[in-house]
Amino acid sequence: MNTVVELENVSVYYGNVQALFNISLKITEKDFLGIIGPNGSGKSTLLKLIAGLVKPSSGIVRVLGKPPFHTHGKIGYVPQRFNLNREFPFSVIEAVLTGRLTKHSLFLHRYTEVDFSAVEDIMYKLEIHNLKDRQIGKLSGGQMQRALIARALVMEPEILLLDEPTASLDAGSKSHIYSILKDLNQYMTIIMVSHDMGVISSYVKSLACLNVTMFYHGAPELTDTLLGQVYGCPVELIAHGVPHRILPQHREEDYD
Amino acid sequence: MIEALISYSFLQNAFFSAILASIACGIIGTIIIEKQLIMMSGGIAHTAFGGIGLGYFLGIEPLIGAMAFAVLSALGIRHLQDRTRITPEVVLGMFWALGMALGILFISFTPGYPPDITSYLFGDILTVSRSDLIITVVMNSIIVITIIVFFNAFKTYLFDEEFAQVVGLPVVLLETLTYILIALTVVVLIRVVGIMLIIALLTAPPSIARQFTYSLHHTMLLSIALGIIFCLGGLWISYVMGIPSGAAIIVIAVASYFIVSLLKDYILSSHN
Repeated sequence: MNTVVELENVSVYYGNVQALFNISLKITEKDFLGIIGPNGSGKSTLLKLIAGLVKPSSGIVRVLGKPPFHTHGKIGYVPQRFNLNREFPFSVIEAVLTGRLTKHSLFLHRYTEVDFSAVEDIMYKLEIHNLKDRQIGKLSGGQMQRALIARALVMEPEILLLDEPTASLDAGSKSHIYSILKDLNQYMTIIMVSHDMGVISSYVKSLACLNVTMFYHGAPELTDTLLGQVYGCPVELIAHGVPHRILPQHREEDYD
Repeated sequence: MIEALISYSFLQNAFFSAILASIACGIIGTIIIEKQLIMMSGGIAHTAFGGIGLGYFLGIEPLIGAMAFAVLSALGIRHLQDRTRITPEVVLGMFWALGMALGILFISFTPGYPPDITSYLFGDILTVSRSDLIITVVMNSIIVITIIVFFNAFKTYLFDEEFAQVVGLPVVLLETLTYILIALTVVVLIRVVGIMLIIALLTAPPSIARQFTYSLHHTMLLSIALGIIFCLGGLWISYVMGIPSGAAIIVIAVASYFIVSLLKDYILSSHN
C-alpha cells in the first residue's frame, strides 16, 4: 500500500498555544481514518495541515509525496458547516460549482459544460439535485453537509478530508452521510474528524485518538482505558449499530 | 430640475458623480457585507481624512492624498492584524482616530485661511469639480474591471476563504485586492456623502438588495440601482430644499432600508 499522507514530528503553535505536539503519522492509500479527541485537541488543525491551510511550526508534512501547498486539486476539503456564511447570496449549484475552480481559473473564468455536467452528476448521486436552485442557507443540516461533500468531490480529489461532517445531525442524516463515505472510500482515501465515537468505529478502517499528542493510531478498537487517557476522564461509549461489541463497565477511580 | 441639469455644469457633475458613486457602492458594499468588513471600511474612510489634510498642507489635490492614505491604511491595518497579536478592533480604532487627528494637524499647519473641511466630512455633491469627476471615473473603472475579471474567484473567496485556498486560488492576492478596492471606493464616496456618512451608503443598498435575490451579481446590480435612486433622490431634495446633499442621501437610504425590511417582515408574516 502506498503512503499518501506522512507527518514526521510535526508540531503546530498558534502564538503561545500548542495545538499539536510531535505528531508522526502515516496514512495509506484507500484508508478510511477516523480522528477523535476532545475539543481543542487539534483535530481540525491536523486536517488543515494536510489540506495545506496551516503550516507546521516544526516537522515535515508530505501529502502525495509533496509539501501540502503543492497538492492543489488533489485534496478535497469539507469544512465544518457552522463556519460558513449561511446568508451568502449563493444557490446550491453555484456553491458546488466552486469546486471546479483551479489555480488557473483566475482571469475571466467561465464554467464549462463539463463543469456543469460533473456537478449535476454528483448532485444526483448525493440526492441534492432537486435543491440546486435553493439559496445555500435554506438547506437542512444534512443537505448542507452533502452539498459541501459534493463541492469537494467535483474537484475529483484523491484524498477527502472532512471536519465533523455529522455534528448535530439527526440519526437518519448521519447514517446517510456515512453510507456515502463508505461508497466513496472504494475510490479514495478518507480522513474524517468526528465526535461520534461509538458510530465511527463501525465505519472506519483505522482510528486515531488525538489530544495535542497522538495517543493511538491503529485498528478501530476503542477501549475505555484509551478513551480515559485521551479525554482525561471516563467516557461512556455508546456503540449503537455495533451489536457484536459489548463494552466493559468502567469505574471512576481508574482515571485518577 | 431637468432644465437646470442641462444648463448648469455643477449639476451635471453632481449627476454623474451620483451614478459613479452608486456603482462603486453597489459592488463593494455587497462585498463588505458578505465579508463582514463594515467597520473596517468605516475605519479606512476616517483614516483617509489624514490624506485630505496632507493634500492641503502639500498643496496637492486632497482626494489624491485621501487615496494614498486610504490604500496605505487598508494594507497597514490588514498587515498589523495578521502579524501582531493586538486585537483587530484595537488596530482599527487606533487608525480610525489617528487618521482624523493627522488630518486636523496638517490643516492647522497649512498657512493661510483654513479650508472648508465640512464638505469632505459630510459630502457636498453640488460642489463636485471636473477634476473630482475624472478621479472618480478612474477609480470606478479600476473597481469594475477588477471585479469582472476575477468574478468567480472573488465569489469563491467571499463564501469560503479556506476552500478557495484548497482549490489553489491566490487568497492573499484576492484579500489584498479587496482591501485596495474598499480604499478606492472610499475615495469615490468622499465627495458625495463625506467621510462620516460613507458607511450607510455602503451598507444600505446591498442590505436591501440581498433580501430579494440570492445571486451575488444580482445583489450587486440591484444595489447599484438602489444607490442611484438614493443619490439622485437626495440630490434632488437637496437642490430643491437647499439642505445638505450628503445628509439627504443618507436619510433616504437608511429610511428606505428600515421601511423595506419592516414591510417585508409584515407581508411575510401576514402570509403565514
